[in-house]
Formats: sequence, C-alpha cells, structure tokens
Amino acid sequence: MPEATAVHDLPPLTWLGVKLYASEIETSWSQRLAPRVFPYVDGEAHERTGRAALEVSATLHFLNTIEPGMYPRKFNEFLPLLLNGEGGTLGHPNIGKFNARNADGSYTITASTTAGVKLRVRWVESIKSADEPSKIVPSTSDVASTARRLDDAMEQLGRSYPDGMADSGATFESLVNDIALLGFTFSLQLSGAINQLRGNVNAIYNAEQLLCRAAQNLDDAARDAIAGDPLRWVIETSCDSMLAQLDEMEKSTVSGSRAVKTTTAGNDTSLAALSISLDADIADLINLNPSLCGKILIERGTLVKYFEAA
Amino acid sequence: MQIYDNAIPRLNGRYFAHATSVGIQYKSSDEVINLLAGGSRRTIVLSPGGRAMLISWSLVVPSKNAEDLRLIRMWREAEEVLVGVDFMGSKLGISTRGFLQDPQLTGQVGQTFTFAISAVCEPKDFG
Repeated sequence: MPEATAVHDLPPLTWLGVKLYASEIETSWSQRLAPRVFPYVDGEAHERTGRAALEVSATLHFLNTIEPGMYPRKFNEFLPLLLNGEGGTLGHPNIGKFNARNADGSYTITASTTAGVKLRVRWVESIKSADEPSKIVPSTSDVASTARRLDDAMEQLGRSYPDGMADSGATFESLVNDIALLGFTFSLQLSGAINQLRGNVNAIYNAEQLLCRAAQNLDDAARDAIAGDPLRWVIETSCDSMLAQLDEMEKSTVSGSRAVKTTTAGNDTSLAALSISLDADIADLINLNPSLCGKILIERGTLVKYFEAA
Repeated sequence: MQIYDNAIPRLNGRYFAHATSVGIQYKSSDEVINLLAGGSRRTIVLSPGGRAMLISWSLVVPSKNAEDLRLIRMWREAEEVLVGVDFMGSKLGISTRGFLQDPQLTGQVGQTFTFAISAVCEPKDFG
C-alpha cells in the first residue's frame, strides 16, 4: 500500500551530505507581515514584507540497532558538524536542498536507551547573501550617512528640495535607500537613479551658490550671518561628498553588472536550493523572478532567470 | 521418575526448599521507534532500554517458626542481597545480586498463612 506509507518514499534528511535516521521532521515558517491599521476601523490590513527563515526541527536516532557503529563512532563524527555552527546544505525530504545553519540541539545519555542516543536538532534557513554581503552595501551606507547630514542641514536652514523631490516628499536619504534596494539587479535602472540623485544634489549646490551671490547685496551683518553659518558649510561639503560617492557607486555598479541567463527547474525545489545549485545570490533571484518570491515550492519546468556567476 | 524440574530459590546462601511457588521474570523498558524510511531500509527499530530480572517466591509461615519474616528487615534497609535459583534436575542455576521488593503477608480463615517476596536483580543467563 504505497499510498498509506507515502512518507517512507521521501528522500532522506541530510546535513552536509550526511544521511540521517529521523523519526520526525517538523518544518515551520512565518511571514513578515507589516500591519496597517486605520482609525475607527476594526482589525488590520497587512503588507507582506517577505518570508522569515524556514525552521526545520528533527528527531534523529543514533542507535546501534539501526546500523552497527552508529554510537558512539558515527555520532561523535556527526556532532562537530553541528557544534561548529558553520552554514551548509540541508537536504529536506519535501523542500529540497537549501542553505541552513544549526540553531540548537540537545541529546540525553540515558540508561533507558542503551544502544545510543536520540538527538533533537533545529536548523534555520541561512541565505547565501547574508553570508556574503554584496559590495554595494558599505559604499551605500557612506552615501546614506552623507545624505542624512545634508537632509538635517537643509531642514534646519529651512531650505526647500528641488521640484521633483519636493512633490513626492522624498529626502536625499530616502533616495539613497531606494538605490540600495535596487542592488546590482538592473544596472540601467540603477544608473538612472544615481544620475537623478546627482542632478538633485547639483540643484541644491547651485541654489546655495545663488543665495550667496544674492547675499552680496545685503547689509554686512546679514551677509556675515549667511557666510559664517556652519550649516551652509555642511550643505556644501555634503553635496561635494555625495557627488564623489555617487561616482564611486556608479563605477562599482558597472563593474558588478553581469549577464542574465535562464534555466529550467529540473525538479520541484525551493528558491534557496536554486540559489545554491546555480551559485546565484538569492536576492538577485528574487529581483529577477518576483513571481517566484511567494512560493515555497518552485515547480519542475519553471523558467528561472539568474545572473551568470562573476 | 520426576518428569518436571523443581527450582529452589536461594538468598545469601540460604535455600528456601519449602517455597510453595517460584517465579523468574525478565523485564525491560525497550522502546519501539518508527523511522522514516528515506534514512533507513528499516521503518521499525527497537531501542533497547534498561533490563532487569525479577525472582519471586512465596512461603507458608509455620506457627512455631516465623524466621522467614526477617527478610522484611532486609527489604526495609534496602540491603543488597545475593539471589539465586537452582534447578534440582538439570543442575542449571542463576546467581546474581539484587534487592528485595514487595514483601507481602496474606492470611485468611481456613487457608494457610503465606509470605511472598521478590528480588529485582541484574539479569543473568542460566549456567
């Protein structure tokens, strides 16, 4: 009766390629839902902001009645693969292979189980991009901090943003953060956003220069107040720094651009497992294949776009 | 000719030839584990647990000699005892160490007054 014993036909649970004897495998996940509440309306709406890491808990048996040498030899060989905390490939019977880390575990040596031990282990999905942050991250954070200084100085001096920014309520910091979200995905789109930001910075700088020129007609006290205001100095130097940092960011973007390739999923798998098998950053996979983002399982035959490995 | 064997319990070297019943029971706390077959060809495996042997016997209590009741003190003090059972016919026997358990006295009008006790011990093979 294969239907009645379907779970026995599943592939084994594996960690770092080691096949494990499990009696129970529990898989759990949660969605990161941002609540949206409305005054005088009961309940709340939600915006999905991603899926939290998959969690897999398993009860493993290292008993010499399963296979000779399971305890203590094979157990002692396996335990360091958990204790070292290194990330690696977890082979899940349903979901397939994905990158994970051991989160915790426990076992008890007990006189009531004399042929070995029962080991409880929990893994959490650990995406590859978190292990290897992309190189745009540090440079963006520099630009972001300069942008924040510029925003603060403009607010304190009561300066207004250029037309395009003022209409949308954007600040320099929010524009930089928008660029950071684009990552390496669409280099043309990224270059466009950088150019737009560069134009806005130039507009602010030119406005400051015009103001100083206009101030030449004012009386001495007013002119000195404008010329000596440290916040005006912050605006000008922040504009200079941002222009230089945006140039650096654009250079790294161009050098980081890669060719997009397409593949077909050979079997039912997960986005995380695909990122490992294709050696592709999972954030890039999500950006290139937004329709696959919400799926736990990528079905066999699905077309998947990815960046060719650099 | 005697067809069936006769067993005599022994405690600290003293034989209880007058025992009216003798029992030997092997006990375990094994656990049956179901495995997902993806990891093993087996779907059921036994996880052996703690094992023990229980030797129990009962005696009648003569009206003029209640010496057997002294075993109750050994039970109360949880004294380790040397326990054995010897088969009179085959000459096979068991010798092991353990502790007395569950002394029980039962009397009723018209029936013999009996004293039953058991010893839980390390399991041994007959030899």
